[in-house]
Amino acid sequence: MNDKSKLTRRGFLTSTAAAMLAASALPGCGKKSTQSGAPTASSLRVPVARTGDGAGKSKVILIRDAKVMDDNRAVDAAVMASMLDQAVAALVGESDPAKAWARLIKPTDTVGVKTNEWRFLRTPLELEAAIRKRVEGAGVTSERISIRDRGVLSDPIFQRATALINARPMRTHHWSGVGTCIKNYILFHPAPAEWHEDSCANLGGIWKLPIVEGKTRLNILVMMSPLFHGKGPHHFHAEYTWNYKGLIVGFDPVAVDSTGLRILEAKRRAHFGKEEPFATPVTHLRVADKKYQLGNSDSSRIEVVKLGWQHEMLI
Amino acid sequence: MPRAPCCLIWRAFVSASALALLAAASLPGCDSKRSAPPDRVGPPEAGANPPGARAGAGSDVSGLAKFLPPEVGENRPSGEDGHYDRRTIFDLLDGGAEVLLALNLKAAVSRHYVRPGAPELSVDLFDLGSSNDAFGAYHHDMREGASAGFGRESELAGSSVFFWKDRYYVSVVAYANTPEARDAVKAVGKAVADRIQTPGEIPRIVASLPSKGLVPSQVHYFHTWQLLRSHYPFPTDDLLGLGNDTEGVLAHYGQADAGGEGARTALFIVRYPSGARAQQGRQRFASGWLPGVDAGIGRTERGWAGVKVSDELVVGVIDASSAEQVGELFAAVDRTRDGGK
Repeated sequence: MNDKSKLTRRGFLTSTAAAMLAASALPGCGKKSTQSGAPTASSLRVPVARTGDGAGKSKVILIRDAKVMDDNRAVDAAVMASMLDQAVAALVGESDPAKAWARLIKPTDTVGVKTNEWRFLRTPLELEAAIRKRVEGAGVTSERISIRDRGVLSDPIFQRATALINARPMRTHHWSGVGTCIKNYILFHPAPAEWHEDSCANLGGIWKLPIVEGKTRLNILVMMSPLFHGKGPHHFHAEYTWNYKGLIVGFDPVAVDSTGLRILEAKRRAHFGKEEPFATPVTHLRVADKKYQLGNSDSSRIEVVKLGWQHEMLI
Repeated sequence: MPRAPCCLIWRAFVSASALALLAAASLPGCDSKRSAPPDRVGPPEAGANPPGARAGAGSDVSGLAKFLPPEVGENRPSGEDGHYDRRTIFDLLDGGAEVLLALNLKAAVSRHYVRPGAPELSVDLFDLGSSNDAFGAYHHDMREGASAGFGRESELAGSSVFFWKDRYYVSVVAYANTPEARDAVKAVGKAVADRIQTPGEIPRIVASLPSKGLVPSQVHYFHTWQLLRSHYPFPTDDLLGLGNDTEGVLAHYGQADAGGEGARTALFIVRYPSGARAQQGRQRFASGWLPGVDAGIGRTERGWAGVKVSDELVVGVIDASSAEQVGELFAAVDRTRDGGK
């Protein structure tokens, strides 16, 4: 090791930035299919307005409801379903949620709902039920719907899925800095640990796998009780969660995740009393944007539509 | 107010890349083994298995379930125990398995406890095979919280408690942070600790650390270069020739006025199986970290550094504020080596 500059934080950051620029120019990374990085019309197979102001921004819906969860974090299923409906309707631009879902999912679709069942902070069952109800309402029969986390590669529904819905909670993570919608697809690869290098920088590459690419119709980042810091073998401390009671919904997974990240960053500032970087740097969102062109990570290119409970929204 | 110091931020970053190699060598995908606790109170609840843990017909091959109490007050087991070995530990831990594998994890048992009207608790007991490695598992994280008063060392942090005792590292985590949960994790943790008879000894090499200026919350025990890299941004290439037959400790001392960004002076001590291996390790580190420095002490971009060998030990100081500080730490280690023995 002759060049000590390679070992410094500054040196790392410089080289990382350079690598991102270089990676963005690599062949095979593809071009953004829309100005926002949202799914193409052909991937959705339905004519949906996917972006915000038409100037290359990604539109995400941040919806909160103080009544969705009680002090014991028991979720009110009806309120959860209503939040999801409002968010999807606002995202699609339809007043009727059923019509909005009909523009996302066709009766002929086979639908995999990629959830997350981490035992300390799982995708709420009430949300899974609400998604299933709306997918069935769009005309998909129950035998062509699977809701699953582990085992998606061996699940016949996921194997032949024409549409994916991605729903998981936001949290800090030992390997990737934060657990995100982008990261939620890691189990679509048979060797997930192979994506851990460099704080999981290349997770966006998973979205280019044939079992995934172009199939995601909706991303739902669950912000009910996000984890903003962690330690110990499970990287979970209940004291580092708080009842935010929100959902972030969008077509652009990078924009959805980046919005969630801003909220976690704001929460850490409030809690620690100063700017407090994540224990593991969050690199995979920027790389998903610049290298894999999955969407927008820059907040200036994200239109956040805020609905519902405004108390301590943090962004 | 709990804080995450800047040095930890950088330290934890390197864990992601350093331990990825370990992760790649032990891929997930194996079923966990969950079985009913032998002394369960009442029948298992339908669907009571914790989300994320798949049910199976496993058994307590490791014999670890005996350390988990059948009940503590009104806290009673819920669902089936999870039993894990080195192959299946990824089914229990998302992200933390690599650390424990690098510290010679043998087996683990996991049990959930419930009490009406209170948050669920998760108790995980890890058998590291030795008290040295149990110490290492516990001290992989910074330990800044108050002692819980049981185990060889313990930390009470909100509604979580961590401790090590004998060859075991134990985590008791509540799913929500309430006064009842905080009381429950203490009670359950103590009950587990009481079932472990032998206290265990702190690694001998840790006793070699000079006490003056030592930051007790940042003392990290390791065997391999990958695990050492999880605590400090060393390069990928192993500069010390470490392996499972070596042991070391990395500690931090005070606030450095050189090195920037709040860096602290770090001291590491590595014990090799032989003096010859130690000589090789010293040479390797000197040429990699301090190229062209013959005296063993020199300046780097991050501050002053030095490395020396003494019998089977290699002692290194990095990010020091001055050459004098390096020398002082070397001399202090000579005085305190192996606790002064």
